[in-house]
Amino acid sequence: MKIVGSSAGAVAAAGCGQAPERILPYVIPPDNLIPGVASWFSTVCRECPAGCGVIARNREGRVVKLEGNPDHPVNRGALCIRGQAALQGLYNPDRLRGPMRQDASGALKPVKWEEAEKLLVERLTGLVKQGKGKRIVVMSQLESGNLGRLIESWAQALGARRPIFYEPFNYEAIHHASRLVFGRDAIPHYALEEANVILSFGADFLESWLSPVEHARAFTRMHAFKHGKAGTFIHVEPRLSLTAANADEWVRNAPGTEELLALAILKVILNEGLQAPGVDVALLRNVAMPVDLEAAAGQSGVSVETIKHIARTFAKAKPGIAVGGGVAVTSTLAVETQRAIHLLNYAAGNVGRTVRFGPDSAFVKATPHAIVGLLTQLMAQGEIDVLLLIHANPLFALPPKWGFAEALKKVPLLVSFSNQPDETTEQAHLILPDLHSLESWGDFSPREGVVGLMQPTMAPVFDSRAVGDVLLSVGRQVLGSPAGKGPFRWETFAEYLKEQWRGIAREYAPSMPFDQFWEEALRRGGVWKDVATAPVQARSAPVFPIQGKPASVEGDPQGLTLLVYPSQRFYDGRGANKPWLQEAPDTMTQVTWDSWIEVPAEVAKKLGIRQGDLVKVTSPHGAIELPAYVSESLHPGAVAIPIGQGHTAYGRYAKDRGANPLTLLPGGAGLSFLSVKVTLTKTGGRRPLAIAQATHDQDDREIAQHVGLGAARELELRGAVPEKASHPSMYPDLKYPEYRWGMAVDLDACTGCQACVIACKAENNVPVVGKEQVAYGRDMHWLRLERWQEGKPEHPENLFLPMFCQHCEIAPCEPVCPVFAAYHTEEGLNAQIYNRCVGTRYCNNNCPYKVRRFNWWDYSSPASSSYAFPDPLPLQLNPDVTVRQLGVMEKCTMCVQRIVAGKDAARDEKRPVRDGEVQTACQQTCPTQAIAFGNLKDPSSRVAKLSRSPRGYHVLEELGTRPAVTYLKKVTREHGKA
Amino acid sequence: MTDSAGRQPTYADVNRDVIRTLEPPSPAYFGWMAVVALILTAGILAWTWQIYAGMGAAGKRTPQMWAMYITTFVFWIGIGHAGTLISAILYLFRARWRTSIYRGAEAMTVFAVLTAGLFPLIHAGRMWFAYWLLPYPNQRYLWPNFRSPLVWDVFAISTYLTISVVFFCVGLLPDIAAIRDASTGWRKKIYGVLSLGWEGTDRQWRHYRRAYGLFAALATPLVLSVHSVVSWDFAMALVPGWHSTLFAPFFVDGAIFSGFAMVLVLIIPMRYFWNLYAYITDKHLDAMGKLILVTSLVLSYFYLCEAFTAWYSGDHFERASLFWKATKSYAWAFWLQYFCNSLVPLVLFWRRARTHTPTLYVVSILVLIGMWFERFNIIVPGLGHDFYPYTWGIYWPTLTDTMIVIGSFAWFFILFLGFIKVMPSVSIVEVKETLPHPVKEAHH
Amino acid sequence: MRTKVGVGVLGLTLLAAALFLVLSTRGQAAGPAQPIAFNHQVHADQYKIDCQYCHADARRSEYAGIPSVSRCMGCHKITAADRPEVQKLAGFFNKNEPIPWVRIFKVPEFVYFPHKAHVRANVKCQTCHGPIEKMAVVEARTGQNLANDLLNLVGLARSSTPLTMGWCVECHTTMNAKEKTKAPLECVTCHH
Repeated sequence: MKIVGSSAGAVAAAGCGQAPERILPYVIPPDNLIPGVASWFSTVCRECPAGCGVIARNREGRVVKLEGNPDHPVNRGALCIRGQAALQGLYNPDRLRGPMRQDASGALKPVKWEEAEKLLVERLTGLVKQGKGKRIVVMSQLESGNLGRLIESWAQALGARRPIFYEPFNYEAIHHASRLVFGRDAIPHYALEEANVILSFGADFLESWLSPVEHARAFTRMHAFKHGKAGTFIHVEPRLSLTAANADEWVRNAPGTEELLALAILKVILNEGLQAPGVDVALLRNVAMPVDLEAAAGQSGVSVETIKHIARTFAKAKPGIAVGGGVAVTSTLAVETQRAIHLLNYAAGNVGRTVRFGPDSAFVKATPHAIVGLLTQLMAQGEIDVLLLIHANPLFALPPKWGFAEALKKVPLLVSFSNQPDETTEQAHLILPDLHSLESWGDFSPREGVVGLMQPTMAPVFDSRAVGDVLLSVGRQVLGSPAGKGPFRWETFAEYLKEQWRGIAREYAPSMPFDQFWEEALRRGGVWKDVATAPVQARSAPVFPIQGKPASVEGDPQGLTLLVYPSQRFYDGRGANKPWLQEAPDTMTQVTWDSWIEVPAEVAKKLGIRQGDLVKVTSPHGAIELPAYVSESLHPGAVAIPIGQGHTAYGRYAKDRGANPLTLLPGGAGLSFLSVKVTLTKTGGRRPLAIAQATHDQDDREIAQHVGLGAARELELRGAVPEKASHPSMYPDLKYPEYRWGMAVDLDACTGCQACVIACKAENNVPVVGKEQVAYGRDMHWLRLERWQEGKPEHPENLFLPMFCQHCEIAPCEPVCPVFAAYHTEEGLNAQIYNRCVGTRYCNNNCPYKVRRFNWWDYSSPASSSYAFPDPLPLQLNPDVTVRQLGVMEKCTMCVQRIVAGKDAARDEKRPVRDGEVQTACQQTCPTQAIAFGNLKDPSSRVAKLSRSPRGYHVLEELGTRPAVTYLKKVTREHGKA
Repeated sequence: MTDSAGRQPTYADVNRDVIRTLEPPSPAYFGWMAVVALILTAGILAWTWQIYAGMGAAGKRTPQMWAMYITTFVFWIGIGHAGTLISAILYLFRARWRTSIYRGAEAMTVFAVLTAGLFPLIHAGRMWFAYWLLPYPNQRYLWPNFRSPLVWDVFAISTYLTISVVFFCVGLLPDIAAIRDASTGWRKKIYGVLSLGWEGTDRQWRHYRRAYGLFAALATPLVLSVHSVVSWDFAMALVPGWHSTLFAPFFVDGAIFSGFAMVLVLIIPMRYFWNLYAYITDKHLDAMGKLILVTSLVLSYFYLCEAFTAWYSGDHFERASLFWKATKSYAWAFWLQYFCNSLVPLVLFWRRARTHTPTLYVVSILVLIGMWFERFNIIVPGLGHDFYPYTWGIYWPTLTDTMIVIGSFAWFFILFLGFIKVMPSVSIVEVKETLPHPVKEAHH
Repeated sequence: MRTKVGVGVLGLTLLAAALFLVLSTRGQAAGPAQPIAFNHQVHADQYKIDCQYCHADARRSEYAGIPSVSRCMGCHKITAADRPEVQKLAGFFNKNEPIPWVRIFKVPEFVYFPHKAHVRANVKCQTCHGPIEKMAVVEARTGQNLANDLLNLVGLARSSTPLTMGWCVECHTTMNAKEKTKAPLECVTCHH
């Protein structure tokens, strides 16, 4: 830690290192860790249960950057916005520093680990001795690996209740439906990439659904224009979500009519005999025939024609795939909807092809909400004496109506292993902070055939202990079993893990010696193998009755249906304490920091609500106040609020920000995100939203361009590169002796997921500036993700465009800089030398793309009130990048530090840099590989090839700036003829 | 040249009247000084805060990386033109009526440029490194970028300042001598040193005349060059509404226009308080009025050209920018500019208006306001609606930058008020030249 | 008469100033007191230990690396174990504490200086660090220096002080000219 501390101090004080400085050498150097040289450790991302593989870049003993593990079958090197931000959980300034206990006054006070453990042991032993083990419950986040197994065996050994693995988004409707339809209680593997048509009922698979990174990649593979072919994506949802915006055809249905539509489509398929051969037609007829197409169309607001056309497109896809998620499968008709979707896949013959049982998803291990409801009752009845929470935050993630808070008061001892001061942990009597996942040993299996192995990527930042270690030692003490004996004979969880992995070794590599297998696994970040798909048959019975009506919602019938949806940035709320995620704009609305209620324009007009007006949202179960975001596209019968904000604790960045929509939801057994109607009333107050994008209208400037599928095919065939406007220049053409670095961005692949934005922030020490500054156009993002829309505002064509410094060959910023702080390198980079900058800001005036960022306040000095890196955040700073000072201009450098490193490595071997050897941070993390970087002088490089694409163009080409960044036009499908 | 009684002043009157202006000031004067000093202090405090906290203290943002500072900078540079124009160009054209006003105008020039010179510093994000814009051998082996208009500014303005200061001092010499002779005690000593031993011998006069003519010739081209160079800060940039060959003449004319207005704003009170009607006569006001009218008409012509080219070019960005300026958030400033600079001066077509001091005064004030907003409209709305819609935005001034801008006016006036009490603000020598030589008999 | 005196005074003051400047750039700063009076003369000169034996990271890292305490002890367990300074060293080792050396050679935080590239180009350590092996106490006068700047300004151009940018650039250009090396001169090579 000393080393870490000192080097971090040096970095944080960047630019002003005049004070006499001490250098602290290692006493005993850790093997193969060289100061100044990065070492990489592979582990698993635990920001959500998708279980992506991660490699962590460790410099001088501190992790400075996370990247996707290229070998990992789930994410293949990519990471999502939340994965990139995991570092800010590790280094969060509000992270718990050590164990604490509640004193008599109810305040939390630090204690010694020994004392804390002793306390817990005494309490547990008491109960176990009296045979009251059933009064002990463990509530954990989903742990599909050996920690989960340890928790289970621990509970068993102590005679405690079965542990609860609580996930707010547990997709239970899917496996319930699977059981009903196919008799297999499982969440299948959805192979999107192998489908020709995706028919999604509200499944936000590009944002949060099951495994967003994997799905994003698969989606692009099936959908992006390649060799004249491109798949089709039809999305049914009342709200224009990010996923919907990526659809070729977004069908706006009335909320809660997904089952109806699915059955209507099924009926059309049957009527027109489009079903796959060998399916049980009788069964399907039973289900679908009672549906009346006209009625369905009437209730869903989707015309019969559209229904028919969807049915045909879907059935003829061979194979297609139908998926259900979001509010669609969390309504009161969740299971029915999901069942209908399963039947659709069955009818179209997709089951076993694109919808595969085996490998099944680990989500099935998550405890159903009903059980959590039961637990709440038990607690309320005083049946529970000890509740142990492992990274679960029910006080935030459950609707207050569940009465969990009240029930909690009846629990004499609440123990939290969380390392963040979340709502529930703040109530805990005893806090035993677990290590951050990046500091701990462990494993996680997102699905059959994939086991990701976790190892510590750095020494613990604070005085925390692995929950596994604590459980083992506590368990031993409670059972009084001597060291090395009994069910908890392992000294540490690491030992336990390694022993368990002997089993995995036998399964995955029976021939290989274990030590070698273990080394291998640590290096690769886990083990994986193919899993055979199990054949399933739809069971003819029991077929339960068709609802034939939309999902029932309580509340004022005149009111608007409330859509509560998972946030892409915050997931179920666990992301809200990370400033990067708070400051990254929500792609569709471009709102930062705050949360909002999306109000349809019609309703807003009627109620006289303007953007930013505070609105009181009242449901039968509660009321919250939120600023309004007026939406042209949202279904006029609905309002929508994202989950994730509205924390009452959870650190400075999350606390008291926005409101928690779960407050409006009913209590009871299930957790249904579509179940109430709400009424809106203007409070008269205003809270303007910090919206990064001034307008979504391009004003005919052709910034983001698109081309029809037909036209794209033509271009492809002709292969002709469109004439680039190459305006004459007063200056001689530049010579590039060795390299000319450039980029290419395929707008047809970009889904607007924002992962690149955070990757860039993490790599380049970009400060976070806060809501007010973002609202006033002073955000510091080097890379911004723009959403442009065309066509009817209620049903727009959306274009996503990552915009960053274009590294123009004739850069307007360069000649105007009086001191050469902005200048052009021999390798075609438009360089910005921070320490030379005087701050005239002329360069940004003259930049047509407005991609330069100015340090308006002193973000880099700890003395300043706008210091952007409170401890221990400086540990994250990339030592290869200067932390910019007050009053200087900064901007995208194409990760010049990586280029320098790449060239250095190449020079060691006396060879030029290979294509793909140097990757920019944004390119590296892109789940859809929409970004390419490389040497334009090498015609065989990927970037050069893409730059020559017939779809290629430069933004604002007519200005003659000759950008080094080529964008490839998005390929749009003619609506209805997709 | 006649006083209110219609009697021509004698040499003696001139000495008396002018030196009278240097008598110990009234409490009212100190009152004014106090007020101005107070505002100046506020301005200095604001600047200190901005240096400490950072540019964020001023209301700038993306896309308005420049705002009120550069506006005010250009404004003051503009003011700095009339002086040299009157003293040098009119001198070369032998326009005799200039004699009684050029001193004030020149002082105004020097102080205006001194004020303008502050703003590049105030504006820079790291003003403590502003000296990097100067070409000097250093251990970094780095030079300024001579392609950057900002570096041209450094040269243009420093040159202009040097010349006008020297010219100003040379012109002062004989008068300082005159005061020296009229004053006593320590004042006599100081003026003695400052007059550099001026005796008024023929030889000295001969040199003086040659030097003066020479400087006049030197200064004349600068009047045109400086503001052309300043205008290139904009013309050389890509921003819609900036990138225009029109700018140099456009700016120069605007500068002279506002300069004359400022001269009037300064001399009308002087003539009232010190009863200098005999020297600053309606004839002068009339002449100034005419000049303002002419420059205003030229300016209006440029305005038309600007709008026309924006429309006729067919360039989408130019058109959008102009349309936005004229109709959206900043429309009020846009139209205020046209009202003050093109409409108001038209009243000067009437001779009575040109000699009616209150009217003249109001017109001049409005012209100054109009010209400040002309620069504002080029910079703030111009940047606010440039090429890239994502970052379009509205600029809001803060207390800090407002105080600094107002402070700059205080700084200017404190210099000017100080000057008129220690130096003759009407040229004794040149006024005498315009009078008939006294006849011996007159002294019986 | 009076003027003559004035000129004289002015002349003298200018002369004094110039003299002061010239002198102030001469003379050596004494090296700072180190927690252990380590003597490079003994190690590098007398016993001819290669620089990279202790500063082992220079060839593979951005940093040259300060030897770990254990590395020092590698020799000093036996060698000269009785010397007071060596006992200090042992003290640190036994307390398992790093030695708080005072840093002497330092470039600003916004400068990225990779030792590796320079070792690869066979640049001798002494080129930048001076005759370390002759120093009992390591000392250096580096970085920007007003006096030197001013002398530069009045044309008495002295070569820049060590570890200033001009000094680096000077070496890179001359090496490229003389040795046909490819020492980069891009700003971004060191500033990013």
